[in-house]
Amino acid sequence: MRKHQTKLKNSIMFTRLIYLFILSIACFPLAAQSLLDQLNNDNAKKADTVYAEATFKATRIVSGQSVENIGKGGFNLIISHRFGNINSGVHQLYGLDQNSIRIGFEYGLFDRLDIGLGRSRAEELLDTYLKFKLLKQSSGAVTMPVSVALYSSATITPMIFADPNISYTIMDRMSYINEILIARKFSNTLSVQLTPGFVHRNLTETKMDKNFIPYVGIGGRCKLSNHIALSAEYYWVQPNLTAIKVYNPLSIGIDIETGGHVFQLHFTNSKGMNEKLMIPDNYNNWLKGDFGFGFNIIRHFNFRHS
Amino acid sequence: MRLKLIPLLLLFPLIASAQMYKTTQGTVKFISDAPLELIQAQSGKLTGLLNTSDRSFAFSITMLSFEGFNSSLQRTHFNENYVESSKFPNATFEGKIIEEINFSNPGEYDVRGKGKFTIHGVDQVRIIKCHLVVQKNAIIIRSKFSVLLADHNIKIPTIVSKKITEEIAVELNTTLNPK
Repeated sequence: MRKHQTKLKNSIMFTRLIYLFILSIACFPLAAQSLLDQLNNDNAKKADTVYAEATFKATRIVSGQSVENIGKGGFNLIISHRFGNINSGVHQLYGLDQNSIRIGFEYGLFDRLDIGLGRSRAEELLDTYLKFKLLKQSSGAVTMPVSVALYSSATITPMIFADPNISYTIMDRMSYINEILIARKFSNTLSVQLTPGFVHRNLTETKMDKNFIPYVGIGGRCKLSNHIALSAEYYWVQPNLTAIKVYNPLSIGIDIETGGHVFQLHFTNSKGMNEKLMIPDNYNNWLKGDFGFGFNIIRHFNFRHS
Repeated sequence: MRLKLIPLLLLFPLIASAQMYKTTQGTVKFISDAPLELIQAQSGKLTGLLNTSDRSFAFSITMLSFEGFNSSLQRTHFNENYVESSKFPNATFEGKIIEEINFSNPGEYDVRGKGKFTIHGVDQVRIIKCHLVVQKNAIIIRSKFSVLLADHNIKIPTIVSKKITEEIAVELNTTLNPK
């Protein structure tokens, strides 16, 4: 009889313990979770799409285009300058006596669409272009691994050709460039871009020079600080399409961003600041020391008033 | 008999959270009024919780949600160079209202919130004045305060020091409803 009573007592104790346990579990989420954690959990359930910002510092990596757009209402004045080759000797002050220049403007028609215009001293080349952002790299609700932009340019040269007796049509003076820019911002510091494209020249100097010249560019930037980045680009050009051997453009430089300005300082073997000039007309060989100093100054203005 | 108590006990946390007020679209505006440039940006994505039983609160805003600025480049620089949104995505304020308030009594109250204020991953203990309007089924919070960039380790390069102020004015406005 007594034995039975103890057993009953034990079972009551046990049930109470269970109640206590359930009670503590039931209250646990309140006790352990701070209000901020609770808020973060609520927010995480409806994650927004986060777009990768500033894959590159500017609309150019060095001489070639980057996947960046200016943004609606933005306006860039770009002054680009390439000095002569370092191996040109002391009488040319190691290239600083020679120069090649391009003055360009670009405007953001929409957040995803830029229009641009430039003039290079070489060949008196006028270039116009459109750059459209097709895809934006993003994470969160919508995940997109890369940003993709389409770049299309038409150029015209008004210069006097070698034989003044032959009349050239406007079409003879034109060339076209098309590129697909595929970029990924791997981390806050590292971005890489792949740039397949082609240059089509309506008229070439000799029959050996082909009209259609495909190429693939690879470029990247590595941030050294919030305002300074290391940048490089290289273009592989399909060989044997030109009468005189051309060399693949390679450029290495730094970007310095100071609010409305980006200064891009670099060493490059390409003197052209447009694909028409730097892809099929680049006769400088890095390995022979045919490279020189150059810079781009990009000044940003904004015409949108909010 | 005793088993019937269990569902009652399970209800306990639900009862406890019944005094929670919530917002998901409060507005925050900030102004940098520097000698050479006036910069304004705003966001409508302030989220927050207020527990009226113990007067504790938590607010959070995604830095990437700020729009406005004078250009999209400026917005990019804000996120990339100054607040570093990819590393420190949110600004938060978590703490307690100092004054005793009877939230069941509609009216207007000037109170102070004390707690941990975090921007750019740097915490500061702040006491921020707020104006509360307690209504039936809603609490409106309005506040104006300032943030010192130096307090949160946000560095302004000397070259742009005349374009960005060291002290940023912030205006907050939100309506919380029972959760």
